[in-house]
Amino acid sequence: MRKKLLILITVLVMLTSILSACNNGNSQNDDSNDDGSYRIATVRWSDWGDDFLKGFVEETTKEAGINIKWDIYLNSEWGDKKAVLLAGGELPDAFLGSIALTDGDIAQNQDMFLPLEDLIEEHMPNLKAAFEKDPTLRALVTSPDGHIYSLPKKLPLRPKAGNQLFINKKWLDNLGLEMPDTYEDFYNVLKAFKEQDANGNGDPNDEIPFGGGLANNVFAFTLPFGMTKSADRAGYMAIKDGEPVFLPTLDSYREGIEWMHKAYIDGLIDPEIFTQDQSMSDAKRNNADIALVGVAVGWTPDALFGPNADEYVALPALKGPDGNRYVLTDADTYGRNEFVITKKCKNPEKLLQWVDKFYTEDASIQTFYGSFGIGVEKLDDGTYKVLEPPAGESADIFAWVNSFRDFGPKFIDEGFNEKVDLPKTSGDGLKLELDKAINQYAQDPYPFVTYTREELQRLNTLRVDIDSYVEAMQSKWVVEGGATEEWDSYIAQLKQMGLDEYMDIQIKAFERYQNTLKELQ
Amino acid sequence: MIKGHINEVLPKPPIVTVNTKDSERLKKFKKSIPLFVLLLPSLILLICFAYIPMYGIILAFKDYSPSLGIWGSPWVGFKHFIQYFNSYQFDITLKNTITISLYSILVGFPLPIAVAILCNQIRRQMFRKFFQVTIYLPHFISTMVMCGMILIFLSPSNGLIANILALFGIEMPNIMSNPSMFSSIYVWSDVWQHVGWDSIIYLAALSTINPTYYEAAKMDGASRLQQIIHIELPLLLPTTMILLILRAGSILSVGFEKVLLLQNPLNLAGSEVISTYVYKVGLQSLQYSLSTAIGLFNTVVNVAVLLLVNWISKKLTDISLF
Amino acid sequence: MIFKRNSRKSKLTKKSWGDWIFDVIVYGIAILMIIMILYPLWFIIIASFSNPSDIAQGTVWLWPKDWSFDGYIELFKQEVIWRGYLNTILYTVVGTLIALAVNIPAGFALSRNDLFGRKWLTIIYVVPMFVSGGLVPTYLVVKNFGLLDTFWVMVVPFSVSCFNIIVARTFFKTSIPTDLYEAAQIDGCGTLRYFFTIVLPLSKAILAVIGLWTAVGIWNSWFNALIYLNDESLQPLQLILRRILITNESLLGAATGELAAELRRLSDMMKYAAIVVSTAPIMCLYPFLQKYFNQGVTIGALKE
Repeated sequence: MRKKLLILITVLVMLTSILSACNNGNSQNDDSNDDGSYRIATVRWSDWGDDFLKGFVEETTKEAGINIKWDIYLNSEWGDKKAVLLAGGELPDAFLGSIALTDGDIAQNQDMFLPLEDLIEEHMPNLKAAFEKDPTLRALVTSPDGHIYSLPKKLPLRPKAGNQLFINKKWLDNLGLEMPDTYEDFYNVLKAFKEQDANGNGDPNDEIPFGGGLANNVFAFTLPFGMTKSADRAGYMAIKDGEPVFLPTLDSYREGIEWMHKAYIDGLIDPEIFTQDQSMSDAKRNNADIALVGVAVGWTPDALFGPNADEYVALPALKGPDGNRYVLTDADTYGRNEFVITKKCKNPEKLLQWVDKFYTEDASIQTFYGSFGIGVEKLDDGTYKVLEPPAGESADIFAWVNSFRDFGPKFIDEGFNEKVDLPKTSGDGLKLELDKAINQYAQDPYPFVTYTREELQRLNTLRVDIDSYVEAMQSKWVVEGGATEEWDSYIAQLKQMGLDEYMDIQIKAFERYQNTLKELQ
Repeated sequence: MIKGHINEVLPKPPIVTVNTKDSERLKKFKKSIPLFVLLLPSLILLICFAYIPMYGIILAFKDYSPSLGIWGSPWVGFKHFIQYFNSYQFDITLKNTITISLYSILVGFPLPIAVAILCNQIRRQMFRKFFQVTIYLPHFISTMVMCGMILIFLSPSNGLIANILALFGIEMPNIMSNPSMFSSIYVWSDVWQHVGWDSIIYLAALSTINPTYYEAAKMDGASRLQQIIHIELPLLLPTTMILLILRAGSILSVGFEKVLLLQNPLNLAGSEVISTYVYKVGLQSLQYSLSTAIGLFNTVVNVAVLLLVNWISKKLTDISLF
Repeated sequence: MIFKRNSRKSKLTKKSWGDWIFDVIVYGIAILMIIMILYPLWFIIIASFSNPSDIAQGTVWLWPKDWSFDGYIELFKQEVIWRGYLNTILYTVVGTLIALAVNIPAGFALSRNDLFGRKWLTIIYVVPMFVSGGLVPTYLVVKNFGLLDTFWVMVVPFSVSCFNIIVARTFFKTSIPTDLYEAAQIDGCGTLRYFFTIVLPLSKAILAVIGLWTAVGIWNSWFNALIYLNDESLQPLQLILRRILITNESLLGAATGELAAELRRLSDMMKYAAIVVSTAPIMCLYPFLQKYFNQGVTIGALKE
C-alpha cells in the first residue's frame, strides 16, 4: 500500500512539473513605441552579422530621434516563419526589404498594412520629389484600389540587360574561328566545339559546347528568336509591339525550341542540362584542370567559370531569323515592397520621416555598398568612389555584409551612374562594362503591373499548373522533339488549364498600369 | 436435511442481472484506475497540443486571411476542394503519390524484416556488431546530401554507375530524365538508406522470443531455415501487422523534400506529388486554406485506407489496431 | 548400440552440412550488404575532405582529391556550433527521459485487456497520427501556454508519440505473458507496482528501441526549434547547421551573380563535413544499446 502511494506521488510530481513548465514561459514583451522605438523585420540571404545596421542606419536613426529593434531572419527559414508571424499576431511595426513580403502576401492581408499615400504627402519630401522625377516609381506601387501600401526602390549601377551569354574566346582562337554574329554562325561554332579538340588537350570529345548556366538556359539559347524573358516576377510574360504576350505560346518560341532540339540531337547541348543539379552544373564550368564548357548564360564570367574566367568573353547579341538582335532583361532596376508598415505601428509619421532619408543619392549608394568610409567614399566634387574590399574578400559579399544591397528604399536620378567611380574588372563595374556592348538591344523589362487580391489568387493557382506544363513540354521537346507536331494539342491543353483567364488578368493589369502611368505624367 | 427442506420451501431469490452488470463495469473501472494514472501524462499532452489545435481544420472551409484571423475569415464551403479536384495536377499528383507509396510499401516493408532475421542468424558477435552499425549509418544522412549523392552517382556522363557500365561497353541512359524511373529511384534509395534502421524494431521483437522454442525445434530436427519459418515469422507477425497498418495509413503522405530535390522538368510526369504541389502553390503566397483543405483530403483518404487494411488484417491474422 | 551411435553421428554431420550452407548464405548476403552500404558512406567521408567541384564532377572515387579540411574549418569557425552541441545534448537527454516516462506507461496501459474503455482510448491515441490542426493553430496554442522561446517547448509539448505508444503496446501484448500478472496478483502486487517492478525490467528491448528512436528524432530535429524558438542561445545543432548550409540552391531563390556562386560554394564545402560532425555523437550512443537487441537477455531474466 505504501509502495502504491509512493508511485502515485511520483506520478503527481511528474504531472505538476509538466504543468508548471507550461506556465514557466516568459511572457512576450509588448513593444510599445511610446518611447519612439520601433520593431522592424528584415530578411537576409545569409547570416552576415549586423554590420549592415551600423554606419548610415545608426546615424540616421539617431538623427531622427527614434530607436529601432531589428528582427533579422534568414531567407531559407523565412517561408515557415512568415506563416506563424503573420497569423500568430506578433507583427512587427514594419518590414524592410522586398525579400520579406511578396505581392501576394501584401494583397492577401491588406488589412494588416497601412495605406501610405497621405503620409508620403506630408512627411516624405524626398520620395515626393522622386515621384515627380520618375513617374514609374509611383505607378509601380499604386495598387488597383488607388492606395499605396509599400515603398519603391530604384537601384544604382544596374545594367540594362541582365544575364547574358559568354563564350570561350580561347577555344575560338584555338580553332581559328571568328566570333559568331548570327544565330547560324553560332550553331556552326558550337558544332566546331563539339567535333574538334577546342580546349586543346588532345581529346576532341570532352567539350560541352553549350552548358547549363545560372539563368534560364532554354530562353538564353533561343534568344535570337525573340525570347526576351524578364525577371521571375513576370514569369513568361513579355511585351511585343506594345502588347503583353505569353512567350511560350508564340510561333517564334516554337521555332526556337525546334532549333534547340536540332542542336541537342547534334550533341551541342549538355545532355544532362535538365537533370543535373546546380552543384554538378557549377562543377563542369569551374573545372580546374581544363575548361569544359563552351558557352553558358550568367551574370559575369567570374560567377560562372571561376578559375577559367579569363578564357571567356561576352557573346554579342546574335542576329536572329527576323533580322533583329535580342537580349535578356531579367535584372530589375526598380522594385516595390521595400518598406511596408503594419497596423501595429503607432506613430508611423516619425518612422516614415526616417525612411525618407533613404531616398537621397548619398543614402542609396551607402545602402548599396556600405556606409561612407567602409564601402564607398564621397569626394569633394560630388562624385563617389566605391572602395575595394579587404584582401581576399569578394566585392559582392563585402557589399552584402555592410549594406541592405539590393533591398530597402533607394532612389537615384538619371546620370547618377556616371558619378560613381568603381573598379571595372570585377563586380558591378565589370557588369556595367559588359552591359555597354549589348544594352542597345535591351527592350524594357515587363512593367511592374499591380494586381487585385482576387487576380493574384487566380494567377498564382493558374501559374503553378501552366508553368509546370510549359516547362515539362519545353524540356521534352528539346530532348525528344515534337514541338511542331504537338503544338496544337499543347495550346489546347494550355487553354484548358485556364490560359485565357490568365491572359485576361494580365492584359487588364497591364492596361491599368498604363493608365496610371499616363495620369502621372 | 433441514437446509434442504428450507430450500424446497422458501422461494429462490430473484437473479439480479442489471445491478451485476453495472457493478461489474464499476469494478472494471475501479480496477483500471492505476492504468488511467499511467495514461494521464500522455493524455493531458495530447489534449493540449494535438486535440485543441484541431480546430484549425475549419480553415479548410474558410478563406483564411491572417489579418481577419481564424474566426473572422469568411466561410467558403468546399470551394478549395473543388478547386483542387479540378486542377490539372490533381490526377497526376494523386497517381504519383499512390504509386510511390505502394511501391515503397511492397519493397520497403518486407526487407527490414528479412534483414533483422538475417542479422539474428549471424553468430559471430564481432561481425554482427560491425554489420549492425554499418547498416544503420545511412539513416543519418540528411536528405539534401542524399539527393546530391544520388544525382552524382546516376549521372550518365561521369557517375559511378555509368563508369561501371562503361567497363562492359554499355552506355548509361539518363534515368533521371525518365518519369517512369522516378518511383524506382526514390524507393530503392529509400531502401538503401533506411532498411538497416527500420530493422531495429524487428530485431528487438526477435530478442524476446523464448529460447525454449528453438531448443524444442532443434530436438525435432528442424533446420535453421525451418526454425525461421515456423518460429520467427509467426512470432513477428503482431509487430509486422501493426506496423503495416500504420504504414498504410500514411499512403498519401509522401514527404516533399526528397521529391523536390530529385525533381526536374523532364521527370515531372512521374515526380509531381501532392506535397510538392502544395509547396509550389504556397511559394507564391501563403495559400493557407488551400493547403489545409488538401491536407484534410489526404487525411480522409489515409484513414480510409488504414481502416481497410486494419479490417483485412483482423480477418486474416486476428491482429488489428483496434 | 553401434547402430544408434552411428545414426546420431550421421544426424550431427547432416545438421552441420545444412548449417554450413546456411551460414555461407547468411554471411554472403551480409558481406554484400556491407559493401553496398559502405561504399557510399566512405564516399561521404572522403567527400568531406575534398574539393566540392571535383565531387560534383564525379572524379572523387576512393580517395579525397585536393585534400582540404576547409569544410570542417569553416564549420567549426562558427562559434555557435558549440552552443548548438550543448543545447542538443540537453534536449536529447531530457527529452528522451520525458518521452519514455510519457509513452511507455501509456503503451502498457493500452495493452491491458482489462482496461476500461480500451477501444475508445486506443482511438484517441490513433487519431492524432493522422489528423492535425495545422501549424498555425498549434503555434497559437503553444504560445498561449507561454512556452515560446523556452527550453521546455523542445521537450514537453511534442513528447507524446502515438506511433511509439502503439508499438510499445504491441510489444507488451506479445512479450509479457498474461499469467504473469495473475501470478503477481496472487502475491499481492498492485498494477502500478507490477508495472514498475516486474514489467519494466523485462522490457529492456522496447525501452531501448523507443529510447533510441526518440533520441535520434530529437537529435535530428530542427523544425520545431525554427518555429518556436527565437532566442539564439536555445537553438539546437541541426538548426544551426542547416542555417550555415543555407539550404539547397533551388530553395535559395533569385540570388544573382557572384553572391549565388559564393553561397553555393560555401554550402557545398560544408555539406559533407556537417554530416560527419552531426552524426558522430549519436553513433557513439548506439553501441551501448546494442546489447538490448540481442537474444536471451530479457527472457533469461524472466526465467530467474
